[in-house]
Amino acid sequence: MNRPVERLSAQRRQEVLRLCGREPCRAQAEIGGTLLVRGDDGTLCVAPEDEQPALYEEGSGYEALRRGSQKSPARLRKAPDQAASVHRHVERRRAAGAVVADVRLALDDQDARVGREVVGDRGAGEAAADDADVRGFHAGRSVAQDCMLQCVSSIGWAHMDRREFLEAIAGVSTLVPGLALLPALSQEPWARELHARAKGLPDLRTLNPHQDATVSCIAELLLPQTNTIGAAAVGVNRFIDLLATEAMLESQRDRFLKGLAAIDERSQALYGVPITSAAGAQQQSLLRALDAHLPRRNPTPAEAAAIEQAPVTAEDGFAILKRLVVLAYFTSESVARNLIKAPVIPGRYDGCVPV
Amino acid sequence: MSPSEPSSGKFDAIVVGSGITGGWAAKELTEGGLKTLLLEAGPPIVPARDYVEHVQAYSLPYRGYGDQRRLRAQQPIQSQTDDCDEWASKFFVNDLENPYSRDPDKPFTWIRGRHVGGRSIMWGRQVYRWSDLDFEANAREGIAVDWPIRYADIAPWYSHVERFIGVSGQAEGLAQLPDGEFLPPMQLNCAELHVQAAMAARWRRERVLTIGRCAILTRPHQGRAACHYCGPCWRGCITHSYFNSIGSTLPAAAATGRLTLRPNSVVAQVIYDEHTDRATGVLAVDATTMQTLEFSARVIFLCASAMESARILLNSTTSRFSTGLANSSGELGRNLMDHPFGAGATGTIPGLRERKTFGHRPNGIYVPRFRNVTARHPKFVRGYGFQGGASRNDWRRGMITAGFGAEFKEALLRELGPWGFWIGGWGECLPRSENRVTLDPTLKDKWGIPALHVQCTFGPNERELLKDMQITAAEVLEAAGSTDIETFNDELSPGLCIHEMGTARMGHDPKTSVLNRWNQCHDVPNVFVTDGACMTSSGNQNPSITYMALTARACDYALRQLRRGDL
Repeated sequence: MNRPVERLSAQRRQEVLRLCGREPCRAQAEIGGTLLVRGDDGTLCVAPEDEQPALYEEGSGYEALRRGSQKSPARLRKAPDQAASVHRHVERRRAAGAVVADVRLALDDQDARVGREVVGDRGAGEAAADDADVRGFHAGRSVAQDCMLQCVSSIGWAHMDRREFLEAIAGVSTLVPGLALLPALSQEPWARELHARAKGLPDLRTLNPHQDATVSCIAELLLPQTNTIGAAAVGVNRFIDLLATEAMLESQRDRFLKGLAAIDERSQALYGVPITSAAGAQQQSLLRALDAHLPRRNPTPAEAAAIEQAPVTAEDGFAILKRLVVLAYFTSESVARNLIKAPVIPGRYDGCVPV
Repeated sequence: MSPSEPSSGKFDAIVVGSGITGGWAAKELTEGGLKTLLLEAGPPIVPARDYVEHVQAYSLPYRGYGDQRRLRAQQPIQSQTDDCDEWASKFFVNDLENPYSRDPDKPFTWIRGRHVGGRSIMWGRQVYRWSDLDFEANAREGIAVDWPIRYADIAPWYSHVERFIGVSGQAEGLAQLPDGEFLPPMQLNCAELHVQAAMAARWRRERVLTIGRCAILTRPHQGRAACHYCGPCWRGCITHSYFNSIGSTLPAAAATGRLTLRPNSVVAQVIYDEHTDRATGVLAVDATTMQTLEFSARVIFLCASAMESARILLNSTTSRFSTGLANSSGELGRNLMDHPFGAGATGTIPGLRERKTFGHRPNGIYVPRFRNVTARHPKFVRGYGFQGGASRNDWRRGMITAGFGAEFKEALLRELGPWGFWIGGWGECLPRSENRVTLDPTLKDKWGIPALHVQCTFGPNERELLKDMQITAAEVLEAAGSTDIETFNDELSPGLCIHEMGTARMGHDPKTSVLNRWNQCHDVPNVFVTDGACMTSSGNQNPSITYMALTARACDYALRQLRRGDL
């Protein structure tokens, strides 16, 4: 990472010099994952943001590392983050004029019309028209279908193109004959199997298939797929399962799971089915009602202790889940890198700039 | 422990603790020509390996949520402070290895860092000089004992410290908060400028909003780079742009060639010789091998933190000092103080929706004390300063904001919340004899050293301050045009401010104080205590710069005494 400042572009050089405070700086070395440059006065300073390869190295995220070998740290460091790389791959292809179908459409081939379109000639269309088609389809489809599809798809799959999707589905279709014919709920275990095989991911460890479907369903209602990636496609269910399995206090985990059950009970009482099977309008209505009770600030320590002792309502369950979904979505490597893009090394502070 | 680490030896000086005061003692004593042994209870910190300020959430196992199970099991005390997060919890002690006891009705939260650099790694970096309003308060009000020094005694040492560590700030010319030797101030943001103007219109020079004065460089200084505004200083700083021992004082001490730094050395006792009436050295335990260590020196500086230094002295009993070394006054371990905080107000600053900030400013605003500065308040003595700031909330507001669906998501991705303003008070704590640490008769730490029993509560004056903070914070927000003001008082237990002090106070009279005006034990003249233990009152300012200035001053005195042969 020793890149002399002299070889940088004029603009970058200016930036380096400004950060160092005086000229000339020479690139120093990477220390602790951060590229530093040293000035003649001996001052070590941080190189500008876009000279920081280690910060933005593909797949430096822990999620990617977990998915790689557990044994070889060297390999771990190189393990690509699939969600992000597939996303980038898709973006590149779209930029090049290719039409890349959204897998959630593809998986919806229970719907013959759309399925045919996707698995058929869809890839030959024009990008903008195709995207409009995708949005139109989403708008007309029930949320219940969406929820079902998230169970089947999930991380990485959302942005696979047709070939990748067909390859993946071919790998499991012989194991799962008649997958498409099963009713929605009983597809969940198969969906998880499908997902796990496709991604080489370990199975969920705390959430059972129905809880997982509930998490994904509500997550997608909260932060749906639009022209930017949605919560289910980011795999928030996996991260929430990870927290519930390893990191949450047992009491918090229990309240979270009771909360999911309370949401189901509410849905049963109102609509006679769990939220995952409710109609789109019913799901929207239920969420709106639960969301109206969302606490607007963090509880004080005393309030938190009192909440801990009280029975878990559907409103509590929703509030817990909403926090987890927002955290899981916005801290995912895919969203943080590709959508938030917050500077890690701003190099300056300006207290008042235009939005 | 490597074989090269000594387990005994003779030095000119021993410094116990490598935190913010130990680093200063090591620097000043070695630069003064003394062969100095610096004993640190914890392991070394290697910035390239241990600093994590640029690590993003997605690179952590739990993305900042933290391993709550491990924290509850191993750091139930430490994790009560926000900075003990998934990145930086490694800079806080394991509570199982470092126990202390409390009465059930007197919770005290003792936050500690045991490694080279101590809590200077994670400190808040806010630095405010005291004035004679603070140094004269005890005498004026007849509380506790008088400080044996005044502002004029310490002022040159404030300058000495500021010039070395680098302090950014804005001179305001206020008598109650003297200006220092400042590097250029950081910027206030748009909303803070608005509040500043509103306060000036309503209170003129009575309540002044200024940018925080902090030990963070705004231009290159002493071979260290200016801040690059990544934000989370408490996770370390690879460019040493904020002051800590590792990046500043310890390299300076090492450069003299007279420093021996021995990490993993838990000091248990100061050794005292009845015949010479002097301390001769210290007994310690190697934290990794459990081997007993013994070192001797002509002068000993305790810089282990207020409660640890008191603990070492309490554990150093002799026939002359049956209740602890240098404790003829009986004040050792008493008068424990910590600043009451966690009360104030929040609200939204209207407008300015087309403006935002760029970069992560690791600093906030400061409102210097305005209570009991001129007019006397009917309900309490002393006062408090406000800290806080304005910011626009990012996606995190999604956790506590109503809404769902495509618009909700896009708003969190593309937009910022309104300008929120938070201010909270940091108040003065009165010294009270019954707030104290003693040795627990049975509890011991991992190294077999008796643990502390801590008894500490806030009194009526602190409670009145906390109430008043809520009222005046709301007034500030009201003046700024905020219409959704909410006041808060988190009723935090003492200790959480991590400004514990007072357990070996300075004073004129050996009968009522442990240390004299030079931080020197009245009873044992070659033992100096220069950390927070020495404080006779607490002020309301963040205390570290006062500890540093007193340390440098005490070192200067000790060096002069040694040269004259008086020690």
